[in-house]
Amino acid sequence: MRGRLASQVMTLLAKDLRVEFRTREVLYTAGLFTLVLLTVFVFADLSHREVASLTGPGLLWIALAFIGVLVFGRTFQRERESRAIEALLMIPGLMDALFLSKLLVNLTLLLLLQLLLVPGLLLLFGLSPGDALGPLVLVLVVGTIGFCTLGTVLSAALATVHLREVLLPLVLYPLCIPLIVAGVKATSILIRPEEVSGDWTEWLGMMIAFDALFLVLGRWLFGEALDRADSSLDT
Amino acid sequence: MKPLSRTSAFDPLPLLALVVSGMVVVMLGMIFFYAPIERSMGVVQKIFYIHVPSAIAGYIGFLICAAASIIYLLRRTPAADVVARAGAECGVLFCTAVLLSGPLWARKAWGVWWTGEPRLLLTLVLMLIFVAYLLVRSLGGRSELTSRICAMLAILGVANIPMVRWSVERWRGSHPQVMTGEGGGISSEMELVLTISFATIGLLFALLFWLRVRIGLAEEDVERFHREASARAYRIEDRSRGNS
Repeated sequence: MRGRLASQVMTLLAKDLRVEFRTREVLYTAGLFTLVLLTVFVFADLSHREVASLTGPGLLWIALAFIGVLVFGRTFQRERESRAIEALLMIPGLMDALFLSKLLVNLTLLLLLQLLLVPGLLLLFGLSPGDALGPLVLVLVVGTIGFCTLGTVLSAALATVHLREVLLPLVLYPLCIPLIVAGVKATSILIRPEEVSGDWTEWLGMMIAFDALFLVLGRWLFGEALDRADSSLDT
Repeated sequence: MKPLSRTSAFDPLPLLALVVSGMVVVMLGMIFFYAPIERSMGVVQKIFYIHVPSAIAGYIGFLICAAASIIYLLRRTPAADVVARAGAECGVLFCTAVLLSGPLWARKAWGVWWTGEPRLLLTLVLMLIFVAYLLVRSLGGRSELTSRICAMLAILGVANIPMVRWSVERWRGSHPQVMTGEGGGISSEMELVLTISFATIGLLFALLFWLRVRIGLAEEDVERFHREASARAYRIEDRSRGNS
């Protein structure tokens, strides 16, 4: 049973990633958006030497939230356009695999985009994590897992709703407040250990709790969102 | 088909509405003329009698919404959906009162319109979540899917409360200690007024909630009768076409 789930997840994940790496739709658009966003931050005078260490951590997570919405909005777009989701949902017992594979696709894309965002932001803002590079990566990965979980569930829920592009951030951001607070706090502590007091592991613990809660709730609600027994997936 | 909304000869709703209206007048009278003026904050402290009960009522609305949403997802009963919606609407209404009265009080008491006070932030975040909930409801149209999506949002929102609370409390390290009324010596007159305002706002909440549930059930009935009638019309049309 477990072997089957893993192979289903791998098949779905490979399918989605193959399509993405062939078209590079999300990576190109979201990647360019990352650069545009960083440029806007610089011209908004947020990377000044005096303020950079104050604004940097916050802007990092704001940028992540913006890019996330761009990525999550595409989660079910291809399935919606080709109505392939109905075929997928006809396969019994696929819900776990579908949830995990969509989550992993979003996670992969968002982590890849962070490879551009994080060094770019640190460079432009003249910040350096120093010895804290490992913990910083850990905080970012844990935060991204929680963010992607909520993003995947909500994009599944809103897949057929009118004005979904606008509604997704409206719904997603308030729910992510604890994650953003924790992420910004932990990042500030790691980047400016002399100025910001606090224990970053405490915030990391909260993020792990957030991830665990929403992974469990998310799996349940993902199934509910895609239960198409009585409604069709209209565009 | 049995209608969801019931009508009987005796309807207690107008009576309750009358009682609540009278209580609101009494409550306002007591707040303005009976309650003593607080020594350090002055007359603005009287906002407290509306502010605190409204906050509790708003939270209760959200909790009702989340509980009804869980029931809806498990059982798919339309009535649970109606209750969830009523809870969210009343919650947002009372939270609006909190978020309007809070800054007014803060401006006079602490000298600023807005502070990073944890309870204020928690209320704001919850309010944003449930405003989005109502937005999805109205944009999604009346359908089973919309109800299900909204139920999900309510559950995610309320499940988030402990974590929002934890993070906003630690967000600024030390947060300003707020006058709650419980800690510092609250006079017996103040206590009496507070009790009355709790009862009044509580009943006002119950009245609005009940009214909203009744309207929701009636809407649900209209929708179902409409569907049923059009289905019957189609059948009749089909049959007559078959005969000819």
